[in-house]
Amino acid sequence: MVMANDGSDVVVRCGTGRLSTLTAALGLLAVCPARAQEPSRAPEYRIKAAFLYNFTLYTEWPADSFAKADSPIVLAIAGDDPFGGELDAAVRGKTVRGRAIEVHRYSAASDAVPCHLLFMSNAQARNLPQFLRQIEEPLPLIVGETEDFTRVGGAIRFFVEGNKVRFEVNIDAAARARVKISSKLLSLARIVRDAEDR
Amino acid sequence: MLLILTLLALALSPPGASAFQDPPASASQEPPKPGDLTDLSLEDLMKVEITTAARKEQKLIDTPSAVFVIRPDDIRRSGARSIPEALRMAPGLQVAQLDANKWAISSRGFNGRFANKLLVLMDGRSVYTPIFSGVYWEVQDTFMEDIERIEVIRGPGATMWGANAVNGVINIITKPAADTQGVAASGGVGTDHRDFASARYGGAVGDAVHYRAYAKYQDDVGYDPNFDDWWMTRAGFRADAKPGDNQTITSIGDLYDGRLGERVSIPALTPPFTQVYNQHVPVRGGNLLARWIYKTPEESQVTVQTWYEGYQRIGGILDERRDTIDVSVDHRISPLKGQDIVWGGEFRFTRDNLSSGDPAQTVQFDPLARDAVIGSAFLQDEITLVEERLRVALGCKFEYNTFSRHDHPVEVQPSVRLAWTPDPAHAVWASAGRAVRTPSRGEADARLNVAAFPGPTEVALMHSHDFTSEKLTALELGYRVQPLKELSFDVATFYNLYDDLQTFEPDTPFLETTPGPPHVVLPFTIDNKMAGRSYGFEVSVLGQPLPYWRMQLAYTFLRLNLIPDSSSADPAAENAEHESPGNQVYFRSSWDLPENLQLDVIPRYVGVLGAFDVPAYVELDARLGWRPRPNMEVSLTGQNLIHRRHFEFEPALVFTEATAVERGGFLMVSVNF
Repeated sequence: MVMANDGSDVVVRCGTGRLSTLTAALGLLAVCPARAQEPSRAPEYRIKAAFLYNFTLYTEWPADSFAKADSPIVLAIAGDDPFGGELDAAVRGKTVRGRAIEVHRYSAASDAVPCHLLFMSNAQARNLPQFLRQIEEPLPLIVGETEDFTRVGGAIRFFVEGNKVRFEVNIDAAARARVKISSKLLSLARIVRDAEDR
Repeated sequence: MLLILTLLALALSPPGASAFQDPPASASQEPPKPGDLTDLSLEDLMKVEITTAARKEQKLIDTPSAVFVIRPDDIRRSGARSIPEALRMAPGLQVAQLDANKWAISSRGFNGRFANKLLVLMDGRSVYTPIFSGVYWEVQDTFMEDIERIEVIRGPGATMWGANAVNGVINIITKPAADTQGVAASGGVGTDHRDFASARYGGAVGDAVHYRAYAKYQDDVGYDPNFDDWWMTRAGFRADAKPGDNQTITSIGDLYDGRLGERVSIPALTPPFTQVYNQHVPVRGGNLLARWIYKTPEESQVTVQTWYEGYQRIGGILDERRDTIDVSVDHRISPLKGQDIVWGGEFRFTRDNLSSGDPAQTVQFDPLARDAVIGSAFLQDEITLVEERLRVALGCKFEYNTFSRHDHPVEVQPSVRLAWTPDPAHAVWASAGRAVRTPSRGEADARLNVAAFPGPTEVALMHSHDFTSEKLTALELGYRVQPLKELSFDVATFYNLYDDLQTFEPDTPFLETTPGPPHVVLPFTIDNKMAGRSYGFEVSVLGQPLPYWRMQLAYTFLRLNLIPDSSSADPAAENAEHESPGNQVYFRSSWDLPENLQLDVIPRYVGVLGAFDVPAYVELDARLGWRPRPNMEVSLTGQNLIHRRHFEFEPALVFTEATAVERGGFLMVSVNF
């Protein structure tokens, strides 16, 4: 058992000794090669939200889809929102070609148009063929995740491969939405076209 | 100062080459948030992997229990330098500082230095000591910036987590190594936290293995310059390997070494019948954990985990050496649509070696060395009754513990939970459950001398093998609502019925000659002669009225009513009614200011502790952070700014003296690259 005064003296001495050791250790760390900090793992919908943001960067919508030169790009989510707050966080404060990005939510896809990019929940995607028959042009760029999404008229579909998020683009559906998708985006996508029998 | 200069030099050195994207967009003015992916190029975004959770992650709003989650940003902006300090923000918890290095932390009452109705896990490793079933908070620490979240679950969690999860579970979870790549370092100087420094390096071997290692050091002068100083140093690592898409192997380990200053007051058989002295207790320990998670193609998941912990505390009134090894397996499976079953088992072996640390033998264990085991099995089925709307979870845990009474060695802890989510913005949940607090090694085997009087006469608390588990039946009801994207309310209410609570009953006095002088012992033997009920509610509000202004409010209301049996003669049985505050308020206002400044103002109110003569108090922490570069932050934190000194608690039964918590502050620099 250590009594008060000598005990605390010991602690103080220990303390300063260790401090200089640690400072030296920090110095050593400084010569380690610095790595660019990039998260290599993230929640699924944070990744998908970042992709949606990138889609707005690499897609050009027709000028007549905007009321004014600085009208925002409108992203609509139809049905249950799987993103939580991730999509709002991804686009907050960002501008694309001078346009802000807004996120709107609707319970049904039919309420969401006009918009620029329409994300359909899986439940909503089941009614995609009917929806496409009902709405009038101009079509938004329609994004979804169901297995047959791009075969029944959707433009972009997310899928997961090897625990990473991938996407495919139906270039015929994109053409119907009158958008120009940059070759950079297309080079990273799996490209599909409308089936012959459709 | 040298330290700060080093950190500054580190921060100002040019960052390594990083790939820049050139999108046709103007970047945001805000510094990038941690985990922000929108700055990544498309190519890099394609490489990001989806995180997979070990236990099923639920959206907070859907969870059918009273949960509060502390995030890294909350820890950083609150200025917390330790896990106990960070826990002050959680509703429903009682957090009080005893001296510079000791805390009393509990959930929904029964607080104390060895509060025994709370289960605390660090990365899946249980950290309570079987001696008193309490937590040595002063040795639970890690590189603070690597904490991913602290889940604070109030109410019984016994079905999933096991005995001692009576009034709550605190789950401290660190980030996967892949999320902590590169160098991070922080250090500072202050009044109580005189100097501290920590650093971490994270790297990778190919795509499949990520690792990190950290070292941390702190030297606290304490609130009383003579005795409650505190010195700790620790180092640790974590490695995550992915041998395939469907499996993950994780290994985590820590080593620590420190000295805790304290003032001890113990009974003495000669006048003045109390002996008071200061001492430093060396504490040393380490742990190593390995976890394997295997996911089958059918979405079922098997987790096998094992850990070892060894520690020693030599030089207090009790010398303790302990080694514990634990193995657990759990299996999650969805045999049918809408059925989510988790079942598993755990086995723990612990061996201790104890001796009285002082000549007066204030604490005596018999036997001095003992092995104990805990074995348990649990099953929970979560059934979706209405898709996305109504779920019910039924579960039960069976647990054997060496210290449970022999006539019923297996504890049964069932629960039922119901979650109703009428729409994504509202959730109502309810639960009923039973939990037990099993006897500790101390309650089974120890004698504790607590007071001495002229005569000489000594008062001693005696163990008993007839002492049985304390039992709780808990009813809970909660409501969460998010009326706006920027505003959420969470209200949890509870009604707890306790039975077989611990009392100390007067027994037949006897004469004792050793240690001398000869004296009369007035024994009080441990028993279970008390029932009790508690009720209360906790409110948590998170709001963001403006993009640059966030607020957090936590309010805790607690009432405890203890009812000793008519046959009980314990004079102090009902003390616990007044050992936890009836009202507590925590408020944090966080502003993002121009020039990359962040300001947090954090007042808190803690109600009176009638049992200790600790008056109600209001205290205030404040922190100003400045980010001159995206990878560097300089912050100034003030703690307990209102009073020069205030008491927060008093130790009951254990003999260290409380010190007044003092106004203080520190300057800190953090960098990462």
